[in-house]
Amino acid sequence: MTDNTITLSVARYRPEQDSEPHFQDYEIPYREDWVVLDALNYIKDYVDDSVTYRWSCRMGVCGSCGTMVNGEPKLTCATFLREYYPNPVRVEPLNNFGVVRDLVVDLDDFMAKLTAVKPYIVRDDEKPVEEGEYRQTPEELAEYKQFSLCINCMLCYSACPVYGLEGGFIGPAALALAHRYNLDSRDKGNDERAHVIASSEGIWECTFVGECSVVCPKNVDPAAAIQRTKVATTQSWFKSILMPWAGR
Amino acid sequence: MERHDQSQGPKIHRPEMSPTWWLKKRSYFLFMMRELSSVFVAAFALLLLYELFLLSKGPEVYGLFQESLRRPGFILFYVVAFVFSVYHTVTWFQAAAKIQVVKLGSWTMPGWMMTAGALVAWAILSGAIAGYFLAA
Amino acid sequence: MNYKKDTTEPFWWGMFSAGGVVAALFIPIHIFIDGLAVPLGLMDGRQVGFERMHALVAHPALKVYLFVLIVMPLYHAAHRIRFSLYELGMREFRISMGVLCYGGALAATAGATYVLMKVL
Repeated sequence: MTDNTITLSVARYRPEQDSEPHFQDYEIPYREDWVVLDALNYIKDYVDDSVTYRWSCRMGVCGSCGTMVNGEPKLTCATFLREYYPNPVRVEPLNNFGVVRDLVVDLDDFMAKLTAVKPYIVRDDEKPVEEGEYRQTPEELAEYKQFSLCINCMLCYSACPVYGLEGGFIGPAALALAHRYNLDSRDKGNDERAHVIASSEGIWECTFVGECSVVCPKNVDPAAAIQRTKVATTQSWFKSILMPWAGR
Repeated sequence: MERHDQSQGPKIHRPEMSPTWWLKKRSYFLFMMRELSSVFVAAFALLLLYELFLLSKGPEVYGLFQESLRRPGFILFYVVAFVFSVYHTVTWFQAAAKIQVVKLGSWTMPGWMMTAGALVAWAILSGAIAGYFLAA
Repeated sequence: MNYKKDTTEPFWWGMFSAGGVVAALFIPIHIFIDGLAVPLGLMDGRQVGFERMHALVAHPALKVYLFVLIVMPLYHAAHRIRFSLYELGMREFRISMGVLCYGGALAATAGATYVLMKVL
């Protein structure tokens, strides 16, 4: 134990009283094994219970604690204070999202986009439960596994300037999840997703800045998923023009 | 600039991105330089087309243009364009390695190896082109 | 939100990609030969002088090569410039930017066809 302290600069926005967000500084004890979320919880419990933020699992699985830490999108549960100490830590709501209160951002837009790409297994016809599960080989699983690790933390949206500039963009996580289901051997939903993914709000909006994949805490690599979808869509487009008899 | 959504419920604060967003982070800046490289590549392509057009105008006109390429302004342009075109080549092969998956059996070729391979191919090709024009 | 499959983007993106490959593989050495090696005297000027170039360009294979070398990178650039202008804040002219950028590439293609087929 030491008596060292660290300053947390927390963005505050209380819509009933603030017209603009502003920073509030909290000087709190510094512990080497604390993550930013521990510091926020300390503030909430002992200093100022009005600070509002989301969190749940504390172990990088639930995806609810995404926050800008010194300008970088991070999970507060996986970002240690010691990476910044003795410098102050600046905590802000995720970039590119509407701010509801303090560090809490508006999820509605992301949820609508997630729903639009049908991130679940689509079947032409469901077989009865008695016939058992849809089986898959390890190789078939390996095809999409990386893209299935997304925890919907939205750090990728926060890092994506295209999403920041054009709010209509379906965005990295949703497009990566669409790719994940399109690659799944059990899924038959390719066509149902195509008009969403290959719309002008979908893959074509992306200019491959690549930051989504850099900030992803689960190494999902949404940028690769989007570019691969572009390649596949372009190939089938040229094929349909050059060989119309070959079917869609 | 800010706007507030007050249609229903609590007002949500929606900050807007400034047009200088790409100056605020190194990776965003490098992205913009990558995109800018295409301007220099296009400018060179158009200049080359103009040069071919002059080739049709006979030896004097073409010779005069060749002569003018020695001017410092042109040299500066070509130095900058060359740097940007090489930056395009490097970033293009880095990007391609992230998109294309090359598998040999169960072994997946790492991205750096693909980029390195493409750069070697580029160097050989460049040498061959230079050789073609150098051969008298 | 009603999404609709975009039927033109695959074409422009395909041209952008193909152009990007051509630009990556061929453009740097041509910039070097044309703009640096010869003017700075690293290379004999006669090798890209009138007589030799005129003779070389007469060959159809080199015509095709030069056509691809000039035209494809322009489609690559048109695509990148179109999106970059938007990303730099010119958001009101979204549609006209596409027309301007791709239209420019198409016009240059016509120009290159004219120069290579008719003039030379």
